[in-house]
Amino acid sequence: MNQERKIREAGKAANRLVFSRSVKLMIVFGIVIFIPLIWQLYQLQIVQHDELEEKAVAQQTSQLSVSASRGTIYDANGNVLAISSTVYDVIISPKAIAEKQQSLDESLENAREKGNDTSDYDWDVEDVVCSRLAEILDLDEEELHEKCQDTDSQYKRLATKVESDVEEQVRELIDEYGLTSCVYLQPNTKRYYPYGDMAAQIIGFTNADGDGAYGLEAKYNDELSGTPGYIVTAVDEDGTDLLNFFQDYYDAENGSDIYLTLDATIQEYCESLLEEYCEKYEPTNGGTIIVMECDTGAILGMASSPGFDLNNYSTIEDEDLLDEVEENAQTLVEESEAEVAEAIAQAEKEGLTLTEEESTPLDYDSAYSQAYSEMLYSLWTNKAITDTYEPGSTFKALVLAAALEEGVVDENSTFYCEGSTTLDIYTIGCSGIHGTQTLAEAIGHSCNMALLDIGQRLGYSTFYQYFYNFGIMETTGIDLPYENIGEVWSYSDFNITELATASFGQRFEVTPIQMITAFNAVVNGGYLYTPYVVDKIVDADGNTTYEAETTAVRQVISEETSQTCAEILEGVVSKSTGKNAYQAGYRIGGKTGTSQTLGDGEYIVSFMGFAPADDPDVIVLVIFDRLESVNGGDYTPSGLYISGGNMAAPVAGKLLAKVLDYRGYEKSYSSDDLTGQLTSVPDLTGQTEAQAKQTLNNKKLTYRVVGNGDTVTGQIPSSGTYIPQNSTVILYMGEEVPTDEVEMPNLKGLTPDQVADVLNDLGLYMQATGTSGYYTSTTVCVDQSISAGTSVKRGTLLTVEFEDTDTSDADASTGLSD
Amino acid sequence: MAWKTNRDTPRDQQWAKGPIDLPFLALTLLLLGIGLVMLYSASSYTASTEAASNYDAAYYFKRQAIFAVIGIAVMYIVSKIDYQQMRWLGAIALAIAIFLLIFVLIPTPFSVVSHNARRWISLGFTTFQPSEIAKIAVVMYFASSLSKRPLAQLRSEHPQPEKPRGRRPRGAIRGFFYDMGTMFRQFRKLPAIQGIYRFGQRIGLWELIPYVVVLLVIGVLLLMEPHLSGFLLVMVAAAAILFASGVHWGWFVAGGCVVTGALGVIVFVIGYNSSRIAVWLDPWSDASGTGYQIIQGLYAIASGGLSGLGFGESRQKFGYVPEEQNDLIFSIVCEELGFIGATIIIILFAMLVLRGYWLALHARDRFGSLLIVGIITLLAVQVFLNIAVVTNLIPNTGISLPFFSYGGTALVIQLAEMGVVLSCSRQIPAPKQG
Repeated sequence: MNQERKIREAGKAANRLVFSRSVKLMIVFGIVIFIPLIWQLYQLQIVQHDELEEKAVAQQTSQLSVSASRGTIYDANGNVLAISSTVYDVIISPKAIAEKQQSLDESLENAREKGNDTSDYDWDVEDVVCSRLAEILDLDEEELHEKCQDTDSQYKRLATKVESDVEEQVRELIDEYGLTSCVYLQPNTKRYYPYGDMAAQIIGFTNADGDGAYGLEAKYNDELSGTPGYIVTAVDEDGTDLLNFFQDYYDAENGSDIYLTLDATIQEYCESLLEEYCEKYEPTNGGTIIVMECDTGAILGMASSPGFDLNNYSTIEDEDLLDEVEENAQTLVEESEAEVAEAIAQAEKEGLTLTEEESTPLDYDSAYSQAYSEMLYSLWTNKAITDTYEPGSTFKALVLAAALEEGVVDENSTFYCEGSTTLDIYTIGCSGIHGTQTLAEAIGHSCNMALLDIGQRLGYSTFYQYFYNFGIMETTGIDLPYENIGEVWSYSDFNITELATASFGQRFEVTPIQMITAFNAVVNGGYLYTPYVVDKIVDADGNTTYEAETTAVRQVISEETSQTCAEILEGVVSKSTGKNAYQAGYRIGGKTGTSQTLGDGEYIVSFMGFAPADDPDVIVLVIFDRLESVNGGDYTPSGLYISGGNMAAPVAGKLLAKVLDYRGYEKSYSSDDLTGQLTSVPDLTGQTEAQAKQTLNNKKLTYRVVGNGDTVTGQIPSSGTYIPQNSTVILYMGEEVPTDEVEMPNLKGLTPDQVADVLNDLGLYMQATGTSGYYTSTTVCVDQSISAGTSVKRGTLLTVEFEDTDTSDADASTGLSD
Repeated sequence: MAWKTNRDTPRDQQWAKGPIDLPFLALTLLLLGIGLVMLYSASSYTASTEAASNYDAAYYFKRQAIFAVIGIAVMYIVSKIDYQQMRWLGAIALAIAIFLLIFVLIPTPFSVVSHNARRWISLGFTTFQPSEIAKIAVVMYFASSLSKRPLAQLRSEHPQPEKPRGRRPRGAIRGFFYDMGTMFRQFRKLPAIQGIYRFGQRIGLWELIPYVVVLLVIGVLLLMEPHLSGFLLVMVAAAAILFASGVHWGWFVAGGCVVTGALGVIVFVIGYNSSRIAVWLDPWSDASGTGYQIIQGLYAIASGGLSGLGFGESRQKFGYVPEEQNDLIFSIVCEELGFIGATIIIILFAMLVLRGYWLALHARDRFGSLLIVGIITLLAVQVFLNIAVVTNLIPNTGISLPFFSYGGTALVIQLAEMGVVLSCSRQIPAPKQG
């Protein structure tokens, strides 16, 4: 049948078509479509594996950081200057409180149904938490209730850095009510500064996050802070820990401890002296003292006044400073008002309209906060390395050293001073008319004329070279932040007047640390050392990771030159302008400095002292910045003569004596100050006058006899008392020894001779101190160890402090006048 | 392989008792086994944290395992059915599917609304998607209908001679219809109409009309749910059967152009899908919103690296990857088994698909071939779409992975489909010996 065959053939054709079409589908759906899938998997799992896995791990893990405890800062003797301790933040979880309340309510319901005691469950969690914590933390209870409203939150910080007493109370509360997840304590650290305001500008402080923000805390933040450890925990999407999954611990590495070269004792000397004398002198910009070890450049003390309390660094408590802040704020307001008025006038003229901001002067409150923070910044400033000042005559020592080193002068050179000279168009004045003088005398007089001569002998380029050599053109590299650099003319501007003024240390500025470093090179054998305050750094395991080394930047002058300079500078203290720094028994050298600021005509007085002069061990710099004078004259409002020798030298002398004593230097007396040396009075009772005379001669004592007996029956002072050599012992031969007490007279203002007479009459003994033995008519008593009016026994020894108030050969103030 | 001849049964029935294809069965069971184990690993964390699963880590695994057992039983039973019975079952299944697709759109106690879509019908103990029924129904109907295509073609090429007409009946109504018939006959004979008819005949237009109508109805119903992935699967499977049955390839080129154009319109006109495209191109553009699911899947996949974190060691399953036991299960598979393991699973799927097509090529008749082509194409496309979505190769369509994703009825239906393939495999004539 044709039809059937056709159908069969059509069927076979259809079968073939189905077969071939199916093969095509098989290739597409069995092979082709899977290729891009595998390619895409390769891209994701192999090519992008690291990149995406990192992101995945970041979300899959929670890092709990374990804080590293911050290193301690010690002084040279291991006294703690800064230390961290654990304190706590108090946190509540409103969510947990709500949950706790819910479970409590359920338990209460249960207990009621069963008729059990309900007292355990019948209380309000939020009320308990809020009222008790408000009490413990001294917070407003209403605010706490408000915080509890946010029941989605698990973290509301109520208080930061609470001490252990508060912590204990909170723990008791938690235990008492079983509030473990509702209230919790999070450890935090707090920085303590046991000495409070000691070396505040040097140590610096940490910010609220515990990172160093200022001073050494900032500079050595990396070393001190260590590396926080962390615990990595797998978490699910809600952030819940999956503890059985994996957990990795990375130990925290505690911070290193820093040991300073600063010595708390010496620092204390510096600060108390600075405070005492700042009160006395009232310098507008405070003062600075640096104590440095001559042979290393190590800083033993460094004080700036006014200071601040490190434990409370952002608060000003000093009344005077607060008054000043108010004044400054008032000034700011006035200035702003003037500016606005001017701007309004200008705008009216030009027909412009001002924005509200432009036409509103500063209000007092914001002016006050501006002035307040400006004051804080100035308190935090370490003046010793940041502020610059005109070094004045102290710089003359450097000129002297350069001149000796270059051979343009020698010890036998003489200089003539007639009080002033004309240079270019200027007249240069001197502090006096010194006439012909030796080099040592010229330095002693701080004679501008002589220094002018010496500077010119050095010449521009050599002189300028010594700016470099003494490190004035660069920072000293001290390991403290924010060190500044002085301001010196560029070489092209260094002309005849500049050379002249530079010769006596004026019209350019240096930082105190630059000055003491350079001066140290003059006296220590010529070495310019890099000053430093960090002695060593010891890591948490006790390994010393850093140890300071004495770094001599260069030798500026030879040992011989240095020695000559030290001798001449010793003469300044023992004989001349620096004699107020004299301390009996110590060989002190130094140089005074007074400079008048260009702008406001105020004075900066300073003194650079070092001791012992024959082999310098410590060098100190004392600066009082901006002393107001009456009507531009030479006296402060309180009547003090303004000069480095008169104001800074006594401070430096006292400081040096204390430091030398602290460092174990025995007082040794030259024949010049034998007058001052003490000797014990022997027992002379029963001796004849001749015998007594012999005994006293051996002791370098003189005597006078009262009475006519053969043998000594009594004596003043009694045996064993120490009195200065060459004093007179009163021998009573038969006469009754007077036992009455005498009233101590007021010695202040008397000359040494007058004092000696008065005391002699009363049978009292004096040990003189304060200024060298070369008493002049202007040397007067400024202090006595036993105050006037006190009743004392005859034969009592008292210390009398003299000071030279001579103004004629104080060093020159502004030597330059038109 | 020979089988025992039973003289009492007709030949057709003896053929229906032939052996099933063991490689296909083995691949199916292997994938089912791997899928179950991976489901356990992926779902254990979520199951252990949800009240709905009674905090039982093995909750999803147990349920899926029960359905797998049921599914294997169903697969066995279906494989025992002589698939020739499905020729007439196709039309009925299609009717049922269309009924269910309409039913699911009507709010009833049985309807489940999830993600703004009405795709599920609740049976109390489980839910199922009518689209699953629709898929297999379309495949069965198309296969049975298109297997008779050569006859239909012959019939249309050789039209029966026109029957002579009787006398016009008397009744007014019957007379009216007679007249209408006469008019139609005359209308048909018009040269223009004849031309159009012949042109349609030549390009094979007329034979496609019933299929297009069926697909339009099903397609519109699916898009009303909406159920884009179900729609795509039905369309691709239907197209595959149409293609395999020998419909002119030009239609597929035209269809492809229409689909591409439509996609273009969807992508650039409709906002909802455009944002889907934006997230596809850069999931990080909305990392915590619409891009979250994709990103978490990618994290999981990438974390696996070459060799994976190890079985059960997924980290992303801890609440990060949403639907980790459903659409995104393959990302957990990639994380735990790595590139190597994932590739092996893809190759196993590919082998299953290839074996399926092999069975289609060797099926006893065209119906068997087309039936298998439809079922296997469905499977292949579903695997492709799922993995392509998970790996962000294509925009997200929301589609499950056969044998792996959690879903009881879907698994049973999937295994039943495999049963159909196995049933077809029984009737493959044994290769001639020697």
